Amino acid sequence: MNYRRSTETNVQTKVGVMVYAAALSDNDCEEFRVLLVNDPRSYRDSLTLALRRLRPAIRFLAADPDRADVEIKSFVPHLVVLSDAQLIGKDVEWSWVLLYPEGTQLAIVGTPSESRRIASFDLDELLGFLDEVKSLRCGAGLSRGTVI
Amino acid sequence: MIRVLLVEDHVSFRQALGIALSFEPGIEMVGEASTLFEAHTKLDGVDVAVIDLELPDGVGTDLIEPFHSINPNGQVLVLTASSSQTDILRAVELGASGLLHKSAGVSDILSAIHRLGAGELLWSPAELLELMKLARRERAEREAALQLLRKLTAREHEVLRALASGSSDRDIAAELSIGVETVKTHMASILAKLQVESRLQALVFAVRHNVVRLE
Repeated sequence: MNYRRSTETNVQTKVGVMVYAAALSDNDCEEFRVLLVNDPRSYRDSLTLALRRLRPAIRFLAADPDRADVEIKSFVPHLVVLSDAQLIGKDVEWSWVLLYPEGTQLAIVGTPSESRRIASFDLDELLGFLDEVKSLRCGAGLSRGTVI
Repeated sequence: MIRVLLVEDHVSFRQALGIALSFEPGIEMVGEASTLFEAHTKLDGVDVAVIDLELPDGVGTDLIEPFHSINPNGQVLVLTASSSQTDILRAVELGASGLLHKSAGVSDILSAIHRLGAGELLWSPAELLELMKLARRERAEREAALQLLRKLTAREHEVLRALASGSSDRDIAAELSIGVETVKTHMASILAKLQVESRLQALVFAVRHNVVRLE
């Protein structure tokens, strides 16, 4: 998947995400993909099962964190749920949810252009962020090169 | 129907596991709680309580006795990220029917709930006996250690804490406004009272029994 980085660095964060979303190639949203590589396994399995029930149109893949690099290359996710912050390089092309780092209650969610911390992260927050990323990347009215 | 209560403070996990359980035939989700306080109000009418050990207002094992007093035939499945033998033995001693590490898959959790709901034990009688023996032994060791630690004076505790922070005798003397020779006397007394032969052993003993923390 080839993304073209927006050159509009001064736009407000959310608009920045939208410009970024508009810069995706046309095939990106035929299938929205979410990779779960968070630990421990009971969390990963439960979230995958629940998300498949709640968002049946989205493709979810759960994998051991040790296989994260391999699965990111082959599955090419739009969103990655993880618990190892080291996987988030500065040039990642996917959005991410860093879940319960160091056993805390918080999550940090991020797109390639912004990130924010969410205290007491629940399933609604996760679904909300997933829908937000999906909508920004695949939303109606955004076609390649749209000027926002 | 096996009526299940989930006690877990990581909300997204608890909710997700709740959804997985609610779609499982033979299981009915009857409650969820994030804290011990909240869980205490939801114990009634539960067949299997799935309880995390580390909760914001205490240890999950504190729920086991009240749970059994309300649900004499109920079962407790402890779900924990801890690998500590002490935690496991304490849960067994208090009457947990099973314990799963959080690295288990959801299928393992579902299977454990079904087995407990059907009145099966997750441990064989021999395993349970062994765990109970270990629990008794560990409790006896813990009590013996506490007796030794109670012999230390307040000043000796201060010296031990200073030692744990990596201070030399000279540093400890300066910190506590005493002479270096007095520090050495305190050290000798600490070793004798704890029945150990070296400062390192004293430090390990103190750390193991939560008297000091290594920074």
